Amino acid sequence: MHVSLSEIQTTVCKAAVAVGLPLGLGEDAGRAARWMMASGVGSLAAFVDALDALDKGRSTGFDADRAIAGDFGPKPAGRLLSALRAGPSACDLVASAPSTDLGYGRITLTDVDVPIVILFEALVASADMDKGQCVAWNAGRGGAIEAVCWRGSLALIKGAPEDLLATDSAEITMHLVAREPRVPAITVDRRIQRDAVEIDEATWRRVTTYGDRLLVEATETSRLTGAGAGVIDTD
Amino acid sequence: MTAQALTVTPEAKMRPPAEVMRLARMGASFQTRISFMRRLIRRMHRERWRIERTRFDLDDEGYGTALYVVTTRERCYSLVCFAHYLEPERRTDRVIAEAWDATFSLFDGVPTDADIDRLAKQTPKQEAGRFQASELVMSRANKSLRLFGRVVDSLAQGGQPDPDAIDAVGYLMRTTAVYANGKFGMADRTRYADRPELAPPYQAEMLTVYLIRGFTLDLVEHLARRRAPDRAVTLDRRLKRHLGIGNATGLGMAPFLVSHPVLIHNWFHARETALAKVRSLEVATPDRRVRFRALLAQAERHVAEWNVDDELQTARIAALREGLRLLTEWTAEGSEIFQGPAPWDALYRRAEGAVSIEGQELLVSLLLEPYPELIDELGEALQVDREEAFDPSMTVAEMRAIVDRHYAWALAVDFGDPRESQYFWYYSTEKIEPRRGARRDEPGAEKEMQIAVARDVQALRVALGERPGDEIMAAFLMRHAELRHVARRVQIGARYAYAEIQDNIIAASCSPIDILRGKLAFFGVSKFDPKSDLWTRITMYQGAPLDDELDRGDADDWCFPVKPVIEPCTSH
Repeated sequence: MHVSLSEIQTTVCKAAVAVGLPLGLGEDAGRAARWMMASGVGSLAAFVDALDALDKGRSTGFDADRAIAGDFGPKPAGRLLSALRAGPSACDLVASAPSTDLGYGRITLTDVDVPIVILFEALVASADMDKGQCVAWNAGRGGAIEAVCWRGSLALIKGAPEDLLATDSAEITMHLVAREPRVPAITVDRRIQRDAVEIDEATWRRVTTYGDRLLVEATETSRLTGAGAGVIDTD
Repeated sequence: MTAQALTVTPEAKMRPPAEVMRLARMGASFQTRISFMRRLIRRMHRERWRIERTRFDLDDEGYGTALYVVTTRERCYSLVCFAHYLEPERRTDRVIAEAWDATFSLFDGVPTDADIDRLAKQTPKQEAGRFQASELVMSRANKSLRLFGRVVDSLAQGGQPDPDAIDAVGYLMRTTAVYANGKFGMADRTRYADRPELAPPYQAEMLTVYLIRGFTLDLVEHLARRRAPDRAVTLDRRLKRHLGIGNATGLGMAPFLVSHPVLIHNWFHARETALAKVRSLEVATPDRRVRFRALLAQAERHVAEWNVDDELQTARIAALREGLRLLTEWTAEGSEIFQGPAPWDALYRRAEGAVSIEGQELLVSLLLEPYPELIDELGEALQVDREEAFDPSMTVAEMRAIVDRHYAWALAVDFGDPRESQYFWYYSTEKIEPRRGARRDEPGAEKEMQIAVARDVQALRVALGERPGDEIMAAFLMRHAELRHVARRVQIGARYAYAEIQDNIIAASCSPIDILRGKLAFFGVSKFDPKSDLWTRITMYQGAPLDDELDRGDADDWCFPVKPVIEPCTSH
């Protein structure tokens, strides 16, 4: 089915809030999903997997004290690290690295549930930076992935676009990049929407079903508070 | 008209956000030269857009399909109209409706027959339909039962409808929603945001409504002609022009304003800059004074014809009439106010102390009118086509400082008082309609929309106070992810002075129609007709030129529409 980019952004944001993420993280998830779909790389199913992992309790957040030093691990241990929870903070940390002891050093995210989500969080974050963010992981059978997000463009240094969709959890490393990569980049131009963002209905239903949890059951009292006259309008 | 000298820089005359962004003032707003409908009509006039009715397959009852093609400077757009039979028991303005008298799609280009066949299946379903990127806007409208049939009857009998009846209602149909920007699979705004004609905010939506107005006028004439082919007459042009399109507007606009702070800043900042420019003028030249007085007189007539059932608004209109009387007195030819420096500024300051807020805001609208060369360019940059970056390297100390400097209004709210958190806003299971509930009496508060900016800012400020000042926000938000959205918002608020409604919108004292009116005034609507503190009826394009009048010299001269004077017909 045809779905617009703004529908993807708002629907993923609502779904993220519905599974218990704070609004700010939901907003970041929505933007990343939009950029992923606009790029033509990736699949919305990746975000739905990340939502499922949080909702089912397979994934969790991180220990802030360790994360500040660049070590994002799942807390409590034994679960996966939620990309939706950790991604925005990891991107913040890389972006602000020059203000910290981290500098151009690497940060590590252990046992990330859906690695590609972090990549697109970094892509969004890079749009307004004067430097880049490098994201790397080992995608199991797909081999090594290394990508540089540079001012809204994605340069795949190692690996192929189809490798990004490998569904295995992985350890991710990220670091600040000072120079623009010389590899041809996949540009995500925010002014241009591809004519058709097609999503299979089952995936779309999965994400919208989460968002529906935020709706409040109608009552007779609430029905009176919408715009318009009574139930029948003879005006 | 000649260029105008300024006494001071306009910035010195800017009204502060703490004054402008209050609900009481937003709820007293009027359209101005930079309102979106005004801008669209000016462009249509300037670029000589052509509107053609290329299909009108409606039966004797007025049901069927019509197509209007708009040719702009570089491309075409088409309004595809479907007119339906609507069972009386299904007739409602509410968003929760599932059937309408007419449904519409604005198509990007000229649709093929196959496109129209596809839309014939989808458009009447509205929110339950599915659209493509070739569709820019979707809308629907219902007939005004007070007026529609009456107009058809009069025309079929060879006479004109009563101008008083036309004026009392102001429209033949009311739209009950106008959707765009990617809703239901339609084109994202990013797809057309770089087109000059659609780049400013809401131009696709405003174009749709303008075309719907033309369709409603054609529809009544068609029905009259089919009923009495030999006797029916066309609607008098002056009456046509006095018919706009109605709308019932509810709570959905309020969360929109809260969730688009930069956009809102752009709108209000542009209007305030416009006002400041006029107030900074050293002199008011005779030609501008003449123009101002003419518009003031027209505004007086317009307000004299503005009658509503709502008691509060009726009292406010009475105060407005008195305010306009004073303005007329103060600006009469030879008035001393024009003898001194910066006369428009003097007039505004005098009004501040003597007329109601609604009178002051109408004065704002009037002051901008005589100065198109100063004002109209300000409407060129009202849109927002990029998201604001968050600065994670900002320190906690810096963040505290901008909260304290820019959000004092939010920190002043006493949330210990239960009245300050009286309401919660939410989306209903019924067609995702935005609604407001009483927090302590109605279920669902745990699912409330997160639009209580004052409450969130207070939470942020408390948490900031517990962390070391040199900690960067990246680290702070690792511990406080629940504050991420408001931290981002505060950084925006520090950059954009008019980004926030500076009132607590979950308070018992919050009247949502104030928020609605603030936004609707930027659309360019008139005749606000509050039906409760939750929703209002309005009129769009009343007085605007018809599609065959767009090349006339007075195409922009419709800001305060007044009832036309029609000679009584003695033969019907």
